[in-house]
Amino acid sequence: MELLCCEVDPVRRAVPDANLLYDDRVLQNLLTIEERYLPQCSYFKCVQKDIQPYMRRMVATWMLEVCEEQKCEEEVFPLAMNYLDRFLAGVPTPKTHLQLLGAVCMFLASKLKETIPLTAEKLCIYTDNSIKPQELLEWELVVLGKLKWNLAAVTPHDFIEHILRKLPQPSEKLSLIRKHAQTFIALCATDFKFAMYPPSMIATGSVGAAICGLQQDEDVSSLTGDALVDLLAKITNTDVDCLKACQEQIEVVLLNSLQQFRQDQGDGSKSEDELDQASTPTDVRDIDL
Amino acid sequence: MERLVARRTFPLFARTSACRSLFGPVDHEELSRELQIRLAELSAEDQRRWDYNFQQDVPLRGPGRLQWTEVDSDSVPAFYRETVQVGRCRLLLAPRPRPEGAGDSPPPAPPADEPLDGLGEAPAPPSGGPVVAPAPAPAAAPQESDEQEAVPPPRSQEPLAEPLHSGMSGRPAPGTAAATGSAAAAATNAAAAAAGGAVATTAAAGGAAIKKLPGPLISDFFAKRKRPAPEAKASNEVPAGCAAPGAAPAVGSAEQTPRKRLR
Repeated sequence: MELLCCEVDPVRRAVPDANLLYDDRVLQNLLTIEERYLPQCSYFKCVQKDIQPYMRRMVATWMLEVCEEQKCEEEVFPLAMNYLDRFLAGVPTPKTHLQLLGAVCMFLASKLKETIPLTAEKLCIYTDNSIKPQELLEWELVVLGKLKWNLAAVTPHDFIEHILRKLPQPSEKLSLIRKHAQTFIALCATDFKFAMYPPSMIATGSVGAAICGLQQDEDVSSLTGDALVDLLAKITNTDVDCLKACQEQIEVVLLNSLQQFRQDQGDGSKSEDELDQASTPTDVRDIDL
Repeated sequence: MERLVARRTFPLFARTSACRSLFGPVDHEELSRELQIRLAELSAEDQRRWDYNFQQDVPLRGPGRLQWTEVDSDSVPAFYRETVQVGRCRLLLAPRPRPEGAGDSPPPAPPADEPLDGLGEAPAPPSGGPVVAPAPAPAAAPQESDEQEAVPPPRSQEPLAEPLHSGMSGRPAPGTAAATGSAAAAATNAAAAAAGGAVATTAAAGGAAIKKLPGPLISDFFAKRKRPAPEAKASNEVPAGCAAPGAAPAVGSAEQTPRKRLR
């Protein structure tokens, strides 16, 4: 039996780097390069013959579950979905290979973002051993090649701190807003509607939706409504109407997933405890719309 | 802590509802066929992009986009030369021939010392002079491909996790090589160097290091863009990411890292 020393927190995190967060060039550069990592086309129409939108949702939901169960860093899941979409935008793939592809994308994203990455063996177990570790490693090379080894994609998470920093929120509310925004980002990554949206817009819309949702229960923001949307739009140079539309879509997706959740809960397929353990916030049910 | 517990308990890993096969059983043979197709695509793409046959390790006979030129190892910085991992140290392979075949045991030379070292010693051997990329010696070519065929899967040029001392797949370790005197290798990252639109400066170390090699290596050559300006412009216009397969102009674009474009 393995003994663990619980006195030290092994996940050591760097303190926020003021040089990165308080220099506006960083945000501007992120905004300049983000479009380069978007999938090149809506691939269900032009590339894929076998794969349907609902299959992407299935594999995305599964990937999110794995990431939550393995307590992956927040960025791992959206980044893996970015790899998946970019690969599918170029390579026709039969549906029986889709789960393998999802596993490979998580494998790569985890290696890029985590100090203790997911192992190939573990990912294969999560596919119920329908794929072998060797196959995962072989396909890793294919995915890398097709993505031109361009793995450091911009994700909505890259924008969150830059946005929060510029909001006139009391700092004690920020962590709650951040947590809810991260949940929305994960939610967006499961829905193909958002795959072609620039990450900055998803981030801005998620922060907006988080504040609006929280505002109903407690006073988290001095700015609300149009004034808030205007400020958010200005921060990331997003068109106000696009941002409003994006935020509304996020709220719709949230509602749908809440309904789904209640159904699941009725079925008793998931215990409350299981969900509470996850570090990717799944407590969307706390948000009252 | 939570994470560590989650990851460490793997041997006891309880199967949860997340362990599931989504789309039914996978046909492993079909998967393997598909893998070979995709790898071949990537390999062909690399060949087109670099005008270089990575399987046989020779430049393509032009006229192509790139023109490969052999250069001497002494004319490039040390980090372009081939190194060997010995334990925890990284040693430079002997860069130039020495009398009495001293090259059999490459001396430990930290990269920082290299340029100085190069200045102090004798000039480059005749074999290393800059020449327009030659086709490999006729006799050498077949031998080279034999070597390649011995390697089981044709998985493009990527040197994958093969337990070799040298950074290149299928190469004999320097210590075991027989002493003849052909041009030997230098940097393995010629490709990376050429990526930014600059020329790939790679070096052919004069002779001593890897003697068994009959033909030239990719690192013996120097890539020159024939049409630098339009090429670079075209690649700037295409967004990086996943280009459509077979889209030639996109090939150049993806390698351009964001940072390079911003400055």
